[in-house]
Amino acid sequence: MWEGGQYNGDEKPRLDALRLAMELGADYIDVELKVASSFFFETRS
Amino acid sequence: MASSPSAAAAVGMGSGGVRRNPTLICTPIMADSVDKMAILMAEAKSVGADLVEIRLDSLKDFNPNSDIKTLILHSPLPTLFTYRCLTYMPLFVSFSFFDFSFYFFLIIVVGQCGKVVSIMAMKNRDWMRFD
Repeated sequence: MWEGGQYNGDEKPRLDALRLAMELGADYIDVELKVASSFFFETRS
Repeated sequence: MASSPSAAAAVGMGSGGVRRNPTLICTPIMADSVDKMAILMAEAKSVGADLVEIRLDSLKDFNPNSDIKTLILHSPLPTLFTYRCLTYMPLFVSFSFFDFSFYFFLIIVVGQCGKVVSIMAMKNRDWMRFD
């Protein structure tokens, strides 16, 4: 189950924003288990 | 997890007082502008939160580059960034043409930002699923 939120756009800009937060020095980012694998794959490649 | 700085205060964090319990407390920050978030983050710190969860999905006119930089710069506490989609939005619709007039459709929109993942139809109280 996904946590309820307010974002209703495409998935790529959403994950790009989280990736940007990580690059800019966020202490933690919250990535849903459903997308964690693709998120980390794209982040590392 | 406390749902706001004031809720965080209600779970026993005095205003800057010493907590006996070692459990760390994270408080979500939701606001429609970065300025309002900065005020809430300061409030979270003042009531003794250990961490702020910054809900990017609550921002209007979100500009990732400038907004995230500003939020990190102004956060008085460690940050957790969350960007949540609208979730689990079952839509009940009925079709009024041909044989479909007897069906009620449940379109299940889950997770990946509005993606339809399943459509179910009900006729005579029996569900059929179309993935």
